[in-house]
Amino acid sequence: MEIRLQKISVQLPGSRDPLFRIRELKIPSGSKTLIRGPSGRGKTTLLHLMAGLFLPPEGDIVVGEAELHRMSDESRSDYRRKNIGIIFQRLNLLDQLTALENVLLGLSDRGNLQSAQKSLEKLKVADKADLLTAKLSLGEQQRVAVARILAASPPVILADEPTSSLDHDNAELVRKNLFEAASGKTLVVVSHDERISKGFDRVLDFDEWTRQ
Amino acid sequence: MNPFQLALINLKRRRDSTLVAVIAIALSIMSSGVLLRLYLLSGQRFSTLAHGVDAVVGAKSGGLEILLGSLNGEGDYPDYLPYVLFRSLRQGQTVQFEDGAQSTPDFIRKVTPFLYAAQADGARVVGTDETFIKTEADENRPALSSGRWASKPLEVVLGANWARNHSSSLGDTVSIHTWLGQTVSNDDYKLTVVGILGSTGSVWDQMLFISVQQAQDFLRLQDVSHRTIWGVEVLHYFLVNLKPGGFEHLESLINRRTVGQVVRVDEEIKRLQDLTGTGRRLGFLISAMIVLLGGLVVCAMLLARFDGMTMQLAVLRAMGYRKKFIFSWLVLEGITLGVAACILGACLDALSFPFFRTLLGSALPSPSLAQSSIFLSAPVWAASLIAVVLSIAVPAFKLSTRDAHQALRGL
Repeated sequence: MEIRLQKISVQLPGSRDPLFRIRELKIPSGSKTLIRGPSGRGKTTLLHLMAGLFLPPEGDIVVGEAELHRMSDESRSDYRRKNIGIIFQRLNLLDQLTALENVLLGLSDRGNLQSAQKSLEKLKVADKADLLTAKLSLGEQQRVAVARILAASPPVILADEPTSSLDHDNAELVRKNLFEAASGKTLVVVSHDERISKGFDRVLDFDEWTRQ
Repeated sequence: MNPFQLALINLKRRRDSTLVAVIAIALSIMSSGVLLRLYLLSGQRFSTLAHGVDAVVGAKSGGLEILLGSLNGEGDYPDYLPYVLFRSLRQGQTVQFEDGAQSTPDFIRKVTPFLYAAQADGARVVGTDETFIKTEADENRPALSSGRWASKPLEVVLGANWARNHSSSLGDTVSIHTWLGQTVSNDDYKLTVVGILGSTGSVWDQMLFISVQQAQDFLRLQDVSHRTIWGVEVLHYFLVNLKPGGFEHLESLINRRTVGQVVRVDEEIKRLQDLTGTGRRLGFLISAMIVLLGGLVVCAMLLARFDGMTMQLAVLRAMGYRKKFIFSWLVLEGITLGVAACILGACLDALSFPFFRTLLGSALPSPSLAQSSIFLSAPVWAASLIAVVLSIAVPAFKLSTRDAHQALRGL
């Protein structure tokens, strides 16, 4: 699925100056794109835009055939549930659920227990499946968050700093699985972690590119 | 995972905060329910007052004491009046006083003797005569529903409630214990039931009735010399029905020239209502405040709980869960919590209410005369459930007005 953003200007609440402007950004279908840049410039906000979590005052956001900027909030939710998977910067797992339940939460139907267990196995956290995520280490939580996407296997995967809290081995494991999950799918990663930078089709510098 | 499963998981896994919320809400429901029921009962405090009497003559004391002692069957053992005074009033004989004054009580239509003589299972046994029951002229007096009046020794007529509660019928025997002052003796007299009164909705339903002669015979069995100079020729009260305008004459005769005191029943009831009205209004105010505070406690507990879940709700939104799903989760969680707290609160209410009722003693009507169903607390349960639903309104409003991006970024 291609992601296309056009003539977008994003402002922070209460601010007169835009946080960033985008004349046009196209993420080709099936590509793997890394967006790099210093903190506080709006990389996460850009990712949320692509997911349709909010709409800017003006501009177009098109994912595949869906014009998110024309859709209602509830329609965007439905679309996101079927087509977009997000790995959040602050993990954001539901801490009252077990690792397995968190993965199942990302699936459209509950029947997919096997794929949930399989994705936990791939990320080497299958032995933690029945533990509450609040009891997992930060690295384990990160891997559960990736497993959630792996199991759901959506056409578009958006990841916000997916390796930020992992050691070298686990960062490599997550990168490998993320790429495996994204095989044939569109992957956009926002990160300043050098360890994850290899293997992407394109690397965009956020500052340069939003100044275009 | 459906919203109800998610609600149950959340309640179960956040066990400590769920328990604290349920207990706090249940305690608030219990205290509000108990207060509401006590308030409603206090309204029935004098609803058991007997009807069909214009005035009551008793030994000199407070007017309310005479009223409640005679027509509501409560208070301490009363002082005596001489039987001879009763006889004079009944026969309309001219009464001659030591100062030479005379009075002819022709303003009395009917006078009924009333003497507490014994107790049966905590209920009072009254010595009286057939003038006590209903006649054409006194529609408000109790009527016999079966049998006849007790006119011979060791016969008794039962009040409707007492007969029903003890499954007694005509021909049965009833055990009574003589009563004098603070003492109810251990002696045991068997009386035969010869009549049962119809229900009046008053304190009479809870009493037993024997002849005056029998009541005085019971007094004779005890040493009454230190209590009365008239031997056993005494009564506690005279229940009087007057001819129009007769009260002033009766008052002038009794209050000024005898050991007795007469009170007008309707006036004393009004006084009673005036006296208790302020207390009841205050009680109502306090009850209403407690119910309101209870509702606020429920709201505060749930608001804090749901507010802490803001980020989780945002994550679900970002994952593509619809607002309707999340709203259903909140409502189901709130209602489950509220219903559990209501059930616990109602149980605590039912268990603790008898204790509070006993604590308030004579400020409330006797349990045998005025029941208080647990379902009288239902408005409190309804208020709590409404408070639960209202407390969901705040996170629901946030959910509908903030997009997932703002919530995730903490904006």
